[in-house]
This record gives sequence, C-alpha cells and structure tokens, in this order.
Amino acid sequence: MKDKPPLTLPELKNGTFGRIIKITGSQQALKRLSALGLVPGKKIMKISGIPLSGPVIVDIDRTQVALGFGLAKKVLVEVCDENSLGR
Amino acid sequence: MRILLVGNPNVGKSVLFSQLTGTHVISSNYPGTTVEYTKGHLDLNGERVEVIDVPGSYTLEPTCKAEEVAVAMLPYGDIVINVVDATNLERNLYLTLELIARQVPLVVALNLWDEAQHKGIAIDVPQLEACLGVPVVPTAAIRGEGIRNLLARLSEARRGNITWQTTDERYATVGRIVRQVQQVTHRHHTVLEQLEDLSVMPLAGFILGGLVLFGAFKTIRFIGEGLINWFFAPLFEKCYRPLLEKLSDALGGAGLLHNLLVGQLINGQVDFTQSLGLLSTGLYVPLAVVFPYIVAFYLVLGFLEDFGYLPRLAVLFDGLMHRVGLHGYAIIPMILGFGCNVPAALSIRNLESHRQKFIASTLMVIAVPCFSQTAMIFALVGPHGGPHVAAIFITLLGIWLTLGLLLNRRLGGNTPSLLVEIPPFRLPEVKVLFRKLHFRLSHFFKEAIPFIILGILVVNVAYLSGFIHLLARLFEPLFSFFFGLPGEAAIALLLGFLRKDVALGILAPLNLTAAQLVVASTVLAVYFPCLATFFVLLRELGWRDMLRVTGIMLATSFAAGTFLHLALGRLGLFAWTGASILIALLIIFETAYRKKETSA
Repeated sequence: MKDKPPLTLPELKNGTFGRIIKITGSQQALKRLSALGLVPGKKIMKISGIPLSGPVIVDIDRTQVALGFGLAKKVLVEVCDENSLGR
Repeated sequence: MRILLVGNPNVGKSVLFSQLTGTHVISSNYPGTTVEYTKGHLDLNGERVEVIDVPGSYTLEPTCKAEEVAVAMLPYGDIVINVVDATNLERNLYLTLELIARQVPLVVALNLWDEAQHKGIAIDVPQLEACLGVPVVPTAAIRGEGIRNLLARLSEARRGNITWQTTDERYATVGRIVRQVQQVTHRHHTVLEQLEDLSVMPLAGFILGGLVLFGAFKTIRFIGEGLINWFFAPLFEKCYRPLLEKLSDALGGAGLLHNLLVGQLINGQVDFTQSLGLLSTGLYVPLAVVFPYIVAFYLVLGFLEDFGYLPRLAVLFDGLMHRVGLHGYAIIPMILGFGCNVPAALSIRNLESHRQKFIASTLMVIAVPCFSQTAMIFALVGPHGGPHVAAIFITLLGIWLTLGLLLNRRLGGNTPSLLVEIPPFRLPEVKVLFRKLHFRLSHFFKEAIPFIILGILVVNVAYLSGFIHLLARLFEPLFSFFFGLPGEAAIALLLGFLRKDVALGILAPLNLTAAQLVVASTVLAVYFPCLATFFVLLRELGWRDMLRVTGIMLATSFAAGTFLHLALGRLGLFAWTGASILIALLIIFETAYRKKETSA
C-alpha cells in the first residue's frame, strides 16, 4: 500500500482520500490553488470528475472546490489509507 | 465613519450587508476597473455611517482583479468587519490573519453560525477571541441573528495580536487555532447536502441540470404568461383602450399627429401590436409583451444565483466551454444573454483574457437571442407549431458550436483552467432577492425601454413616409434569391439593430409562411446585436475587434439564412443531415487534436 507512485487528481478514484504531495506548474497556478487552501500536505477527498476532460471536484475542509481538467492534472496526490484516518 | 465588509466569496457578506444597511444602496464600479462593489448607509447611535461591501477575496496577495480592488480599498476603512464562514474556519482564517497583520481595526463576524451548528461544528468563541485578539461575534445574517450584538461591539474594534508571517507560518497558525477552538462531530448528510453531491456527479449532475433548466424555463413562461394574461393585457384592454379611442376620435381618426401617437387604425380599431403609434404599440410592446418576461426571467435567475446552483452549471459545462476556448464560468454570460444581451455583455468584462472576451462576445451576440426576442419568436412562429420554433433554436445552437470550435482553433493562445469554490445550497433571502430584481429591472427600464419606443417610432415613420417600400424594392432580388423572403422583410432587418423584438413585430403583418418566418427570425437573431449591446461591447473590445465581430456576424447570418431557406424548402432532411455531419466532424477533429496535444 505504501510505495505507490503518486497519482494526478483526475486519476484518483471518486470517493477516495488523498494527500497532496506536490503541485507542478506555474507560480500563478500555485498561488491560485493555495488561495483555496490547496497546498502540499493537505488532505482532500475526490468527490467527482466530470467526463470528457471536465473539471474534478474535491472536498477540502468540508468545502467543495472544482478544478478545471488542466489544473487538476498538475496536482499530485498519494492515496490515503481509509484505516489511517483516525490516527 | 466608514465600515468595510471584507471576506471570502460565498460567506453571506451581501446578506449581512443588506441587513446592516437600508434600502438606499448604490452599486458602482471601482474606478478604472470593471469590478463592482456596493455602498450603503447605517445609523449607528445617531451617526450616519457608510458601509461598503468589498468584493469577495481569499487573500490580500491578489490573484485576480476583484482581490486587487479589495486590497486597494482597505486603507479607506475606519473599521473592518471580517465576515467569516463558521462552517469553514480553516480557509477563512487565512484572510483574517492577513487582515490582522495589516493592523486594521477589526471585528470578526462569525457568520453562517446556524449552518455550522447544523453541520455539527462547535466553535469556542471566547477562545477564538483570545487567539486573535479582536472581538468575535457569531451571526446568522440570513435570519438577522447576531446583528445587534455585532453593532454593539463595533466600538471594541481593535488591532489584533498577530504580526507579519510567511505563508507557511500563517497556514501553521491557522491550523493551530482551528485545533484549539473547533470541534467537529460527525453526522449524517441532510437531503440538501445529498442533492449538492448529486449535482456535480457525472450522470446525475447532467440530469439534474437538465431538470433545473427545464424547470426554470417552464417557470419563466408560467410567470410571464400569467402576468400578461391576468394583469397587463386586461389593463391595456379594459382600462387603457377606452382612453386611447377617445384620443383617436378627438384627433379625427387620421392625420399625421394621429398616426404618430395612436397609429394607423386596423379595421377601424386600434391594434396594440400593429398600429405602431407611440401611445399604442409604443407602450404595449415594451410593457405588456417584453417586461413581464423580463421580470420572470430575472426572478428565476436571481433565485438560482442565490441558491448556489450557477457554479455547478459552470462545472458541468466547463468541458464543453473549453472546447470553444472559454471556461465554465462563461456559461453565465450565455445564460444572462437569454434574458437581455446588455447585462450579459457587461458580465463578459469579468472574463480574464481578451481572447475569452472576444470569443464569448461573438458567440453571445450571434447565437443567444434575448428574452424579448424569444418572446416575439414564440408569439410569431409559435402558432405554426413547435418544430418550427425548434428549427430556429437548433440552428442557433449549431452556429454556436461551429463558430466556437472554429474561433478556438483560429485564435492563438489558450484559456486558463477553471478554479472555483462550489458554495453549498442555501435558501435565498427574499429581501436580497427582491433588491437584486429591482436593480436589474430599473436597468432594463433605463437601457432597453427607450430603445424599444424609439424603434417603434422609426418603424412608424418609415411606413408613413413610404421609405419602407423603396427599400423593399431595392432588396427584393437579393432577399428572394438567398432567403426566399419578400423585399419588405428587409426593413425588419435594417431596424433590427435598434430592437430585435420590434423588428420581429414588423414581420407580423407581412403574412409570411411558416418557413419564411423561421428564416427571417434566425437571420434577425444572428446578424447584428441591438444598439445598446453593440455599444457596451464596443467599449470593451474596441473598434478593430468589433469590426471583426461584425464581419463574422454578417457572414454567419448570410450562411444561416441560406441554409434554412434550403433546409425548409428544396433540400429538407439532406441539409439537416449535412450540417449535423459537419459539426460532428469538427468535434471529432477537435478531440483528436486535443489528444495529440496532451500526449505530446
């Protein structure tokens, strides 16, 4: 379970928790994402992904945020084990 | 004294603002920008205090125009009320800490307190006050709770006890404070929350979206027709007609003055849609045909806005909009355009790049008919049956897609990704809803109604002077060959730039066939925006781009008119299939191109 390669947000399965490892992309993209609390280390849950290169919707601190497909691909996450949630 | 309301978007800032201030509210653009803010007044212990609703922002290190304005406004406040979403402390406290670091006199309104309690979030208010060093007041603005307490504690506004920090330090502080003051108990989703989740799911979201749009248009028609049939039409027929007939008699039933004011009598009677007098058609069309639908449209739109549905629509359509070079939020000007193209053109200013503005403007003016136009199309073509009305809108949709795909390919540059918070569903506050409706309706009265009346006057003069017949002869060959329309229809097109609804009205007495009406309505919808929209866009895009848009419009309307003429006449199904195949090919081409681009 542990040494899985990081996934991009569109690759993460709906309803799974993930921890943001890294955000690739421009300084501007980083700034826009961090304004909404999307920073490395943050735990998020993917709610849904709209098909045909539509946005990805995640839950972060009980708020829903939608990221356009291009931006979502820049967010790398590691899958969090459901069981480790309580720890 | 001046109070600023500062906070993240979607925290109920505007609701709090309308609770604090009275009815006299001014909405204006911040100098040199297109960012709007609202200003009102409040009576605080006998002192008249100015309250400003600052554009919502997540951070004081601006990432967009609205945030730049918010930062620029900060120094002008004597007291800042930081409106914080109690259901989402983590995110909101970041801005609070930035405000404290700037050493502004601060009071925190912990808004949506009721919602937080429903969600099982408990916040230790005294502890939070101690951490921040400024007063914290729980409020539920939508119910008016906590407002009096907030006002009472304004005098305690002070600079907090946190100094400047780096971004990482600030996030660490936010985390520490939240752990100290907040406790979340898990609890089951409510029906509204389940609906929230469903509305962004791939399949269910689109079904729900379809239902919402269908419901919205049904409601608009119901309210609009209700207003006309039960109020405006009887008002004009029962109360106004006798007065107008007396005037007609007094003026002798004919003559220049009579024809200008009352219009020409049809079968010895005033006809509200065909007489074309300033006091007959000039009042009837704007007030009894168009206005009721505008009321209905903005009522429904305002509700969807405040309910929190529109961002979800933006999310659902983002994929599609990206294909035409826009991002999801450009769906809002498109939807606004169905009401009136003028506010839609104004909202296009908020799009980020010039490229997006150009594409959105072109698509909007060409393929989105405003509601007064739609109302006239329904009135004119509707009696010939649904398929004919559908032909018009299907053609417009086809034009929208084709043009969008082509423009996206032709114009250089690309469109940044969507990034947006999706607010929870909230039942709108009636007061805020009606204030917004009032804003929009008064705008319609000022911007649109004079043009409608002017348009009717010009049409009337053109008829009376015989100018129309001259034009008709001139355009006869061109129109009959390409569009299959009589020359008289030319006058409708020439006047269409004043008001499209008036122009459609001119078609009524021409006794056109259903197919001719469809062609004429479509060409009219596509070829040129009304004057008011044109000038708004001109200011935004400049002469050169506006000329380009105009060229595209003329070419498109020509193509669309000829296509429909053939499709409804000689070629029939062949033309429809041909067009569908063309659009399908364009989409496949575009998808293949994107695949290649992403894999490279």
